[in-house]
Amino acid sequence: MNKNMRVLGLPYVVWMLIFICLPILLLGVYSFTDNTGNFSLENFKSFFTPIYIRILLNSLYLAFISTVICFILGYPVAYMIAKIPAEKKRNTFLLLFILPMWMNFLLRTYSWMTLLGNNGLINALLQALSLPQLNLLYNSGAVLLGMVYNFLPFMIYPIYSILIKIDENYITAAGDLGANPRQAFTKITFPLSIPGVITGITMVFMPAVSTFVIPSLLGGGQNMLIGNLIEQQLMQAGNWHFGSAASLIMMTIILLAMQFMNRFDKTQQKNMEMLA
Amino acid sequence: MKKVLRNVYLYLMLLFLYAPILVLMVYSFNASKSRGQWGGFTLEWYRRLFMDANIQSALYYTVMIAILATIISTIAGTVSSIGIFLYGNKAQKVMLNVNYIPVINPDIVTGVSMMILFAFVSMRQGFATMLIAHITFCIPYVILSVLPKLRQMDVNLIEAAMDLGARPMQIINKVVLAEIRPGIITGALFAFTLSIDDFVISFFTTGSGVSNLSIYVYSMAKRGISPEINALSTLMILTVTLLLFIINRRSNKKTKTTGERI
Amino acid sequence: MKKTIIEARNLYKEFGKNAVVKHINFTIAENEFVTFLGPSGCGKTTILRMIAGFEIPTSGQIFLYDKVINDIPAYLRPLNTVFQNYALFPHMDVFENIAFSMRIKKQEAKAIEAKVAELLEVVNLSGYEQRDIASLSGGQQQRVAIARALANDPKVLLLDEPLSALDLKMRKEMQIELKKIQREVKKTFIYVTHDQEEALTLSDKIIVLNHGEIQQSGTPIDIYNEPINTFVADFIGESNIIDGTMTKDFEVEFLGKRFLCVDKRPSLETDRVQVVIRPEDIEIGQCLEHTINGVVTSIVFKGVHYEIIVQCSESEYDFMIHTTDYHEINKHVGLDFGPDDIHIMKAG
Ligand SMILES: Nc1ncnc2c1ncn2[C@@H]1O[C@H](COP(=O)(O)OP(=O)(O)O)[C@@H](O)[C@H]1O
Ligand SMILES: [Mg+2]
Repeated sequence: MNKNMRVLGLPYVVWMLIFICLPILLLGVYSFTDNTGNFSLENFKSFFTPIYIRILLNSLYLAFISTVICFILGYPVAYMIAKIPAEKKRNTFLLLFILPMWMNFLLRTYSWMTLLGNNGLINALLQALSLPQLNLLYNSGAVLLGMVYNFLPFMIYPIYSILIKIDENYITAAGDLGANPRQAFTKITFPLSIPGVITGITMVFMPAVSTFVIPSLLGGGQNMLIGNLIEQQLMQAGNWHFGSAASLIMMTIILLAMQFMNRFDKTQQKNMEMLA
Repeated sequence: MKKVLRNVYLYLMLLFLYAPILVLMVYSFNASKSRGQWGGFTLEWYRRLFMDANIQSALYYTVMIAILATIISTIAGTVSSIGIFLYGNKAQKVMLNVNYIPVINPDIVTGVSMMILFAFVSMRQGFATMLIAHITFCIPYVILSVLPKLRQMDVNLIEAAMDLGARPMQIINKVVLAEIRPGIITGALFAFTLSIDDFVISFFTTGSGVSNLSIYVYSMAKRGISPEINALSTLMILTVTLLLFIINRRSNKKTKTTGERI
Repeated sequence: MKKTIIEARNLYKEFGKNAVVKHINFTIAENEFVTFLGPSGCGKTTILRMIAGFEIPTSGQIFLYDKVINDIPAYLRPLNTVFQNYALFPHMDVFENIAFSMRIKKQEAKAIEAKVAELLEVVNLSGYEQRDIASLSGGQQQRVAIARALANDPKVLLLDEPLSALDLKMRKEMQIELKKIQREVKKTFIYVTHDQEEALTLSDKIIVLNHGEIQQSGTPIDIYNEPINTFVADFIGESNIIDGTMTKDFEVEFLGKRFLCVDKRPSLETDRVQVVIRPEDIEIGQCLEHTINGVVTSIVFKGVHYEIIVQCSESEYDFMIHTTDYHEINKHVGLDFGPDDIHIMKAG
């Protein structure tokens, strides 16, 4: 192995240029041109009109709420698993909580249809009890539920990974110095686990903003999010230029959000690599 | 008391995570097609599944793409990692940042931008474009798994091999590959699971009647629940679980015998 | 005269703008045990790596016999290295590690087996063939590394601080072992260390380095007894170094007294010199006319001997003396030494 063998990296450099850089460049070009290929800001102008702004804000809002819920539900799970003393039991629990990460995302979303649908289990139970049927599917609540359900493991795992690494001695030391368990948690454990929380937030928020499967399956046609807008513009309306602009805007928002989160913690990228 | 509370919470959360999947699985054996009622046990939906030519073709493409994408991206990713590893700090950083784009970019952006690329070069979308897309999003994960192993490797090992007469290629074959093998295996497993699981990028980069299982499920699910999809989902979930189980057992055994970590 | 096997001519190496090895020349004879000795960072490893072929000289030549080997890649040089951290291949057992270079050369299985067995015998590890590297102690790994480096029958064995990772006891044992192995395999050993005691014990020849320059080279006895400058004197062993003047041939004056010595007056423009007297060469006795007189200011037991500091009455110079006799603090004493205990060096 010597420096001459750097050439081994060159084919992939070419591959990256063609299949990673060029597509994004083209996305940019499409965003700033019209159907005739001339430079135009029309796509952005029409994006920043109330209908589309509402779609964007709605996406951000739902992603935000689902991130908050994932955090509220997920942190205790991660904490409780990390505190299980028996290693075997701890690992089993961890495995059970992260196993869904490996199951097809689409199927997990679909599985809620079998529960919430008009023909689904819940309505069947209600009917059996002679209670009125509920419209559980095809509303923002269902979309939110789908997001939380799908992304919860992505909140639990990074937080757990950090918690499990925190030296038990810190807590003991805090206790020794007179902190009660609650103070030990708020003053030691939680601050130390922030990097995991940041990773978790990023890993939930990003896919939640961009998803089009969840709103499309659980939200029905009415609850359009930015992901659906992009999908619709490219696959149905055939308006690639507008779709590109919407993609570019979403990408920018996500990258800015990540940058912002990165500010909080430099180790975040490392965690992502670790998780990846 | 605290322990009881903890267990109650954890089991409730597990119920939340698994109940929908279990219900779906149970429904796949339900003879009654409509409503939530139980109409008796049946394997009818599975039988129909195996007769369905669309599903067979989707299964074929899913597996084919996953295998090809895994092989190609594992080899390419490993070779590229070695190349990248040998570059100086600055060049390496640039390459890794670009490599990182498909990891952090939302799938939909990756999919859409590749779709635009294929249109730009007038490439008809189908099997080939989908495969290219899969390779493109798999290689970064292989590199992210292999490169750390290269960095952890003791440089003296390379020099020792050179010192003992090994030429550059022999060093790679006899020493480097053995040292980074756990990283390569992890990378390959990542590539396979990502590829077999992918929906969004495949959705935007395929065409000409080529669909994978995810795309098929999506198109069916948009029309509402159907017992065949329940059956198909059950099989897919069981396969992945089984696969993970095998991988887990394998790495556990390894850990025990050689202390090697995967 | 033994045949020269390795020679460096005007060897120079810089990293960026940082000159690390500065135009040095040396020769190493066949079957010699040569040690590069110097403080950390003085360029020892760099020299060794240039000989091994891991580092390319910026200028100058390295010869193997009469051939310049500057451009020959490491894998083609008939030299092998024992690395400081051993660099044993963790995925191979002891046998495969030692067999590595022979497998590269595609030697027959039988020959390989015989050679590995022979080498394991040399390093005292017979029967360890199938052992995992991780299961060996530091000393055993060290032996495997030596065996592996010898497997190719190299003309020269290069060792970079090979004992530094071992504990003191193991280090002493391995020193003896190394010397034994070198005699047994009859090969040139080029050794790098910052430990002067190790160098003195092991070497036929020592090359003392500082800041990438050779200070002195010679046999351990030469270097110990006749350090050429204060750096060598100080580095090779703790020494008393005093400013003095040559008054004539075989006479030197320091601390206000004249002493006989074994050196001639140097033919330099100045008579200023530095005088080195080893702590163990000084005897403590009565204050006399011809002795240097002072007061004991400290006494520390060092295991085998006492280390005594005597402050000289006239100049406040602190002499260090190693002796097995006990002397009380504040006692007035006279320091005595013979003409051949006085080493004269040019003033630094
Ligand atoms: N690859 C390198 N790049 C830059 N500087 C180096 C490199 N290798 C060694 N040096 C520098 O050269 C000097 C001598 O190093 P070295 O030969 O390792 O010394 P020694 O082995 O005597 O401790 C040190 O100052 C070190 O920092
Ligand atoms: Mg060194």
